[in-house]
Amino acid sequence: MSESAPSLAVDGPTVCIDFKSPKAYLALRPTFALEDELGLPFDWLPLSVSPLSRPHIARTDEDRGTRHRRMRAEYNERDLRRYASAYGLELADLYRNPDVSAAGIGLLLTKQRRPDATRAYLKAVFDGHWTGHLDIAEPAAIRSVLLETGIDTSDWSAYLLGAGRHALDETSMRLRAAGLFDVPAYVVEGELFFGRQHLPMIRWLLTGKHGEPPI
Amino acid sequence: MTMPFDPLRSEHRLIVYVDFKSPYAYLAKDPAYAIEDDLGIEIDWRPLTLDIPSYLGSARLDTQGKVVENNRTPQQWSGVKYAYRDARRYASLRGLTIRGTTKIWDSSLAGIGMLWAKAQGRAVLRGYIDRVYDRFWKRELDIEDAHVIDSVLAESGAELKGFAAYHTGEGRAYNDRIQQQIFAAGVFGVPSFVVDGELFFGREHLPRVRWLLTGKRGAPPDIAYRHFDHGGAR
Repeated sequence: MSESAPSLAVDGPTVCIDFKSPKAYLALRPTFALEDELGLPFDWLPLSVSPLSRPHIARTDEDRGTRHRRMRAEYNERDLRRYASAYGLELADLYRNPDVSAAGIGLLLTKQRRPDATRAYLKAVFDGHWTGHLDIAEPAAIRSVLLETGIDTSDWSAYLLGAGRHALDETSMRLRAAGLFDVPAYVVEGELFFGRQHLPMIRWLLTGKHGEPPI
Repeated sequence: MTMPFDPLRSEHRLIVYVDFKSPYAYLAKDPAYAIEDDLGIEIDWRPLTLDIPSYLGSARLDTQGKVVENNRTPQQWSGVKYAYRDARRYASLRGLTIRGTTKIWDSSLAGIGMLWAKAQGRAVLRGYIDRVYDRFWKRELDIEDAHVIDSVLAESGAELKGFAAYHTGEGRAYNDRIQQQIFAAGVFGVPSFVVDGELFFGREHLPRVRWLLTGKRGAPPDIAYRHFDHGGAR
């Protein structure tokens, strides 16, 4: 690999997610599967990125660039839905833009207090948001998920406004400074990858680069 | 009888849209050949001339790689820089060279050359596509120069008689017309693959494309290849 990513100090394979991103949601299962296969848990970090752009209504006077962006946005929705259906998922509205900070802070708290519950937390929040059953912008809803995941939430309100908020802001600043602008983002052996389509390459890197590299 | 041009239909089951100025289309070429060879099918290769400035801004670099003209936003630059880094790392693992370009090229002439080569059979077409991609991305080929395209066609075994008139006349008009039809049908980027009227943008969909072409056996593969076990990829 000749090209290096902007520098980001991480201890091991790292994956950055945003709960409002359908691309991050679709990456959940294959990333879990890779963790299981390798017996290697990834470090999951929250990063809020720009929401998907809803395709605008086609107009007869749109210029080529506007039309291109509309067609790309329409294609993206079709693409997300066809792969979601392969996982048996029906995605709710793709263009919602909730405040994801409480959900991100919940992830940091889970990792701190019960790292072994990280996957359960991720799954509960992502599934809840994408089936439309969980208001992830609502701190009380996130607290319920934390409780169900077995996390001590006696100081949740204080953590949310204090140490948790500080940790989230610091994480976001560090990731953005390292050039991360989309999710899911993987940082593996100093390389930055955007998108779950790189999981075959990540697997190849983490298993000693044996055999032909993925395309 | 030849079918009238339809952006999403062909007499062949797989349509592949490429543009020589796209490094991602370059990376898709050999995996697409592999599908063609493994399945014993013929791909309908079609040129799509990207209008990059319309959606990604534009920039021009000097020979030292310094930006001398620029109307890109910081977000567009981040995306473009990542895309080149990403294309290069995959290319380097396959022994391919992708050097940064100094401007946005007009690749329409090379696309018309591809149509000409295609009419002369698969061997000529592959020879032409391989030579243009390989040399263009090493910065050894001026794809806007008709003499250069003539030479590559000749080297690829193409009959050249009539090409000069074709690329300035009928071929140019045909290419311009189909570019409008392709865009109007919603095909906006390369590499794009069309199977049974369904559009896929990006080579990460090749497992799914192969699955469709082989009778949808087993679970549909994801772009993360979890269910894809053909050709050694997973």
